[in-house]
Parts: sequence; C-alpha cells; structure tokens
Amino acid sequence: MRHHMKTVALIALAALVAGCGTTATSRLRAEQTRQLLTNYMQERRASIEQLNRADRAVYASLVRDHAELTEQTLFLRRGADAAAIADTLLVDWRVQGRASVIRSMVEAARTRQLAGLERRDSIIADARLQYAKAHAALALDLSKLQTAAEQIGRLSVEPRAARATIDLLVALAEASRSASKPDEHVQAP
Amino acid sequence: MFLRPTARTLTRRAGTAAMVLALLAGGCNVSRINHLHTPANQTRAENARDLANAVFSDRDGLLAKTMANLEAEQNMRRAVALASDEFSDLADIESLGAMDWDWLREHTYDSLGASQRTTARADFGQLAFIVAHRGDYDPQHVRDAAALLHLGTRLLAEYSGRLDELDSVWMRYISSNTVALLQLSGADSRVDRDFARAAETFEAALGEITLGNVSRRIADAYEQSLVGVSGRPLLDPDVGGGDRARAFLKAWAELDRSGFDAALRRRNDALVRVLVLYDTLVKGERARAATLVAEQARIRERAKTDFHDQSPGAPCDSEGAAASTAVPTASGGASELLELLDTLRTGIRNVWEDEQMRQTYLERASQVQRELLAVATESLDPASVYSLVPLLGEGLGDEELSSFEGYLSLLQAKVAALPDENADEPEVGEARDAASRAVKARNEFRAALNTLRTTFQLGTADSNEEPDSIIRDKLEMVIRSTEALNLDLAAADLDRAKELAAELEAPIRDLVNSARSGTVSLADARSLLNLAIGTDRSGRLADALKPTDDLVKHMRSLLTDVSNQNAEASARVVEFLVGLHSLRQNVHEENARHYLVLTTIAKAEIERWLSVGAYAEELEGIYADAPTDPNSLFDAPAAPLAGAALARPCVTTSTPVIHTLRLLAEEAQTRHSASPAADAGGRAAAQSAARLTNAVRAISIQQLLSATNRRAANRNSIALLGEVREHSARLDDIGTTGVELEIRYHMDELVAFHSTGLTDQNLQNLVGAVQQGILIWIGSEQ
Repeated sequence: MRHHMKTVALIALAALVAGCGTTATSRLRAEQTRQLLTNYMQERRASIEQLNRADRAVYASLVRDHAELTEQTLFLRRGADAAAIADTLLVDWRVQGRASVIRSMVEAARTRQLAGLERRDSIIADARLQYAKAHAALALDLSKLQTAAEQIGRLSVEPRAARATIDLLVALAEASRSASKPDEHVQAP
Repeated sequence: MFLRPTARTLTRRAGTAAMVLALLAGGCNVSRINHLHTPANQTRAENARDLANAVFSDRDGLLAKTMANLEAEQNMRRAVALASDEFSDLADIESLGAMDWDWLREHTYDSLGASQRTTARADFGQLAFIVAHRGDYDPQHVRDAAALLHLGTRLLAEYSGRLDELDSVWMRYISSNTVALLQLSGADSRVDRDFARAAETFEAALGEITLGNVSRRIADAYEQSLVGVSGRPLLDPDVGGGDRARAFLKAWAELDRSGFDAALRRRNDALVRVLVLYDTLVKGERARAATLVAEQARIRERAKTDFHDQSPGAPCDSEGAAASTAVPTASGGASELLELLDTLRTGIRNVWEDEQMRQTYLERASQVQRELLAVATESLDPASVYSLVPLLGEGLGDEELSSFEGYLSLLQAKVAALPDENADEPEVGEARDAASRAVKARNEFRAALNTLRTTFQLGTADSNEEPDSIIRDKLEMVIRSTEALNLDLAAADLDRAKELAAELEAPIRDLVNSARSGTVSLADARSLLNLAIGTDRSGRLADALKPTDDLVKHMRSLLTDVSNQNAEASARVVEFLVGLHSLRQNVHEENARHYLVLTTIAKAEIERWLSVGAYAEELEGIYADAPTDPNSLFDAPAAPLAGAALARPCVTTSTPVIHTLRLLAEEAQTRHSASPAADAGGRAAAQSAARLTNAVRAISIQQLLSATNRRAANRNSIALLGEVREHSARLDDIGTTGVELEIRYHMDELVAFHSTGLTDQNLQNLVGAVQQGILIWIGSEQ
C-alpha cells in the first residue's frame, strides 16, 4: 500500500511539474503576433496593389492626355498652314496661284505637318521609354510571412494531449489523496 | 496595429510600451521557470522570426523603388505639360483672329482668375457720357443700367478713397434711409461681386439710388478730388471731348488695375501668411523631433539606473517603476506648446474637408486643383496640401481666397491664445545635451509662433470679415473630436496596463527580488513550487518541503537565469520604446522636410505672381497711355499732327485685333512710303510706327503673360502633386516600419520565451528534491 501510494504521488508530481511548453500568456501573445502578421500581410498586399493600380491609371491618363493634346495641336497647325497658304494666294494670286506653286506650298505644309507628327511621336515615345526604364511595378513576396504566421499559430494552441494527460494524472493524485484521508483523521491531534 | 503613421498613433504606442516597460522594469519575467522548454517550439519561433525579418528586409527597398516610380511619373507629367503649353500657346494666338481688344483684355484677366475685375469699355463709355451730362440721360439708350450703376459706384468709391465713405456720399442725396445705405456700403466693403444685384435691389427699394444720382455724384467727386490728365476739371466747359474721354480712359484703366492689384495683393498676402505658417510648422516639427531625441536619451539613461543598477533587494514595485519610467512626453510647457501643431494641422485639414465648402470650392476649381485635391485627400497627410491648393491654378478667384482667409482668421484666434512663456523641465545626465538642443528648438518654435501671430494680425488688419460660420463650427467640432480621442487613448492604455498587471502576481515579483538579493528562503522555494505546479495544486504538499543545499543551489541558479532574462527583456522593451520614439522623430523630420518643400512651392508661387503683376502693369501701361482721342487706341501722347497727317485710322478697344493691326500697318506703310518732305520732322511716320508697335507689344505682352502664368501654374502644380505623393509614400514607409517594429518586438519576445523554460535536467533536480519532501511527508503520515 505504501509503495503504491509513493508511485502514484511521484507520477502525479512529475505530471504536475511538467505542465507543457507554453503558458496561457505565451499562447495569447503568439496569437496576437500571428494576428499582427496576418494584418501586416493584408495591408501590404492591398497597399502595393493600390499603388500599382494608381500608377497604371496615372500613366494611362497621361498618355491619353498627351495624345489628345498632340492631335489638337496638329489640328491648329494644319489650320495655320492653310491660312498661310491662303494669305500667300491673297497677296499675289496671279503668281502664287499657279498650280505648281500651290502644289509646292501644299507639299511643304504637308512635310512640316509630317515632321511635326514625327517630332510629337518621338517626344511621346521617348517619354514612354524613359518611363518604362525608370518605372517598375512594386512587388513583395509575402509568402514567407504566411509560413511565419502558421509557425506562430502553432505556438498559440494549447497541446490537447498534454492537457488530457495532466487532467488524468491530477485526477489520480486527487484519488490518492482521498484514499489517505481516513488516516489523516486518525493522526490528527 | 498602426493604422496611420501619425505622431499621435506612435505616441499611443509609446504610451502602451512605456506601461509594459514599467511593469517589466521590476524584473517580472519568469519564462525561465513557468513552462517546459521545447526544442520544436523554439525552432518554430526562430524560423518565424527569421522569415518575417527577411520579408521586412525586402520591404525596405520598396521606398526607393516608389521614389523612382514617382520621378518617372513626374517626368511624364512634365512631357504632357509641355504638350499642353504648346497647344494653349497656339490656341491663344489662334483666338486673336476672333477677338477685339476688350475681349483680349478680358481673356487675359480671365486666365489669371480675375475676369470679374475688368470693365467693358462700352459700359465705361456710356457711363462717361452720362457723367459728363451730370446724370441727364435717356433710359432708352442705356444698355444695362445695373452694370452702369455698379461701375459708377466702384468708380465713385475709387474717387472717395474708401468704400466705407459711401454712406456720407449718399447722404447728400438720400437722408431718409441711413440704415439701408449703411448696409449698402457695408456689403460693398466685402467683395463687390454681388454689388450690381445689391444696387438694383436698393435702387428699387429706395427709389433714389439711381444711375443719374450716381453719375452726378461722380461728377461732383471728380471735380472736387481729382483733376483730369490735362490738369483741368473733367466738366470744365472749356475741356474738349478728347480730354474728357482721355481722363475717363485713364480712370477706367486705373479702376481695373486697382481691382487686379487688390486681388494680387490679397493673394500674395495669403501666400505670405502660408509661408509664415509653414515656417512655424517646420520649426514646430523640428522642436518635436529634437524633443524626441532627448526623450530617447532619457529613456536609455533611466533604463541604466532603473533596470541594471537597481540595488539588491529593491522592491519590485510596478507602481514605482511606472513612475520612474513615466510615459516619455514633452515636458509640461513644451507639451502644451507642441500640441498646437496638431491643432494647426488638424484645423487646416478639417476645414477643407467640410463637404459643403468642398462642393462650393470644386465648382470653381480648375482641373489641376481638382486633381490635387483628389490626390491630397487620398494621401496620408492632406492637411498641409489643402492650405496650398487654393493658391495654385488661376488663384485670384474670390471663393477659394475667401474660404482660405476665413480659415486663417480662425487660426489667428488660436495663435493669439497661445501662452507667451513656458517653463521647461531641467534635464540631467547624458541626456542633457539632447535636452539642451530640444529646448533651443522649442524656443525657435515659440519665436516662430509669435511671428505667426503678428503676421496674422497684420494680415487681417485690412479686413473686417468675420470667419464663416461653417468654418468656425467645423473647427469647434475638430477640437471636440480631438478631446474625445485623447480620452479614448487614455482608456486604451489603462486597459492594456490592467491586462499586463494581471499576468504578474505577487509571488513572482517576490521570487525575482529574492534572486536579486542572492538569498533563497523556504518561502521562495514554496513560491517557486506554487509557480511551477500552481497554488491550487500544491496544497499542503509544499509545507513538507525542506530546502536542502542542492535544492537551494539549483533554485538560485534558476532565479539568476530569471534575473538575467529580466534584464534582457527590459533591454528589448527599452529598444522597442526607443525605436518607437525614433519613428515619431522620423515622422516629424519628414513633416519638416515636407513643409520646406511646400515653402519652396509657395515661394515659387509668389515669384510667379510678381512676374505676372509686372507684365500686367506693362500691359495696362499701354492702355493707360491713352490718346487724346478715344478712337486712337495705342497712339502715343504727342503733339497733335496737323494738316493731312491729322487723319488717323479709327481704332478703339472694340476694334478686332487683327483688323487693328492691318489698319495700323497700312497707315505706317503709307506714311513711310510717302515723301519725307511732306512729313515735318518725320513725326507722322514715327507716330504711325510707334502706334503699330504699341499694338503689337500689347499682343506680345498678353501672350507672354498668359504663357508665363500657365507654365508656372503647371510647374508648381506638378511639383505639389509629386510632393503630396512623396510625402504620403514616406509616411507610409515610416508607419509600416512601425508595424514591423511591433511585430519584431513580439517575435523576439516569443523567441526569448521558447528559448527558455525548465529543461529535463531542471525537472530531474526539482523532482528529486520534491520527491524527498514527499517521502518525508508520506513517512510522516504513517
């Protein structure tokens, strides 16, 4: 009987002292840290996507504005060229009104307009090229954080097996103490 | 979580951290003995920390990439702006073909946002006619009586010197309704944009304020206070029609120029106040940054004395520790002083975020201003930008300036209520130098505040405007919400403190103190046992435990470990706290940089308007050098020509621009082609050439003025857009670093926790010792 009680007491003691590898506080902190990591991932992902989306929208808007302005500018220049030819004819229609001269004037205007177009195309192409060279979409590999959050998540969970074992051994210890209670009454002064 | 990287948020974090620090300062970290050490858990914690740190390290590079992207976008914007400028220049030239000089002039002022300041020449001519006839006119021949009444009243006000004197002017004609007249003059002293309507209303109501009366009064005032260009009274019967018209032309030009100049002065006055405001904010942000540097030094210094040099046996008193590591904030006076920064910043933001005001403003805002507002609103710190947006673009409109001046008036009241002097707490130890710099920075901030106060008082001396009730109400709301926020912050910190305090029980603190003292008593052993197995489970078992030498030695070793871990934990908290303050410091330094950039943009705006003003003055000079004959626009004053040379082309401000040039070119060509013998002294040829030159100069200056204004507006707007985004990106980076700092701290804590704990050897020793006690206990039960 004495040997049996000693064994039970030692097992109970070992179990009680052992506890487990985490505490309620450590698990709570692990959970808070996991939540911080999760929120961080979500915010960074959303922020990077938003920045990239805004960049694309601004770029598209600028390219569109540039194209419209170019078209409108060329329209005005065409009008100015036409007015210049008309004025030339107006000043001296007898000489300037000859078919060859008119052809020359129109051709010169067309050449100017084409040169203008090429210059415009060159400017915008250069601007776009410079933009493409200098600009890079933002990216951040967040998958490592996912793994980190999973690892931390495991530290936030109370091990069920250990809990059950402890409960069982505590019950055994209590049973052992209860079994010795009649003797206590006898020994009590 | 860090929602926004504002100083307030970081302050909140710092406050919470300080509580943690205070509670841990007593040495209450017991992770060495309150759980089992598990290698797998340690590996998990370390892996997670390393993975997170790797991601944080990668994220560090994103700011540089964002800045590069921003620069690329700015370059793209500049390319588009160039195309826009070229198109607008061409369109301006193209439109010359359809314009007369009145239209051109109006278009010019319209491009400056001051079109309402110009007066149609035709209206002025009609008014001049009516004035010249002392108010005797046929209503059938008046095109727009209200417009003429408006114009006449403005002119009368100019003659009278001040609009406030209008009532006395009117009293000569209307003595029966003084109140209404005072109201009339009072209304006009604000902005005369609604005057025509008001004048019509009063004319109908009183039946006396008529165009005729106004014209007669103008004639009287003109005779009494001014003389014509020729030096003779306007209505002198001997004065010819040419002189009369010339005098009116000059008055007309001066009237419009005075309106434009007034708008320009008003705008530049606002810009100057904005500059002083920015300067104050820069100094305030620097003072805060310097204060935070001092706080960091103070924390480190106090950590040394409170955590590492604590004398053995000192009580683990969390309350005392909290007092010794009080939440680091600016000292009394400095704190009060620096709080103004938030009031200024929050005030600007909230006034401009008022929905009604925003809608009113957006109706008048240019495309660039709308875009700026949209970008600013989405940014992390829109406050400072709101103060500058209204001043960009065309910039001379009444609405945006009225709103902005209303805000500045409110700000004036706040600034005026500031304390003049504040006492700073004396600093000691290694933090002294940093504290000294902080005090110096705060003194500079105080000086700047005084300058700001003076500037505001000067800025509003000319205006009797009351702040708009919307603005006032909004600002009050801001103040209330700020106060509520402070209460919330206090509650949050309290909850956190309670939560932390609940984790720490008296036995633990006793244990740690024992470890420090180097003695381990029986009570300590019981406490350790309680901690290891729980008070409810230990029961009488612990009573039988007798401390043996081996047990005491082992427990002392454990408790020494606990003490060392406490020191490490304290160091981690100190570094976390210092890191938070460093981030707050970064926020304020970034704000200071931001305000400096805004200052640069505001200065560029002032330079822009100085140029525009100079061009406008030159342009008006050409118009103001009016000829003796109103049909001789651009003719330089000179001795009259005689004979055939007297015949000059008829050019007025309503003559189309191109037609004018053709007429003047024809005349110049004719006079230059004619025999010089017929042109005495070549005066006719010279005058015709000069007149043509003046006309071309007017076009040239107008084109240059518009182009300059447009380019400067584009340049400054692009700079402001870029700065808004850069500031936002930098704040986001600081805020994200703050989140990472918090995560790092927690991860380090977890790693520290799982790197410790009771090992197998510890357990064997403990079990052995307790087994001995149990055997004694069991034996005693026999």
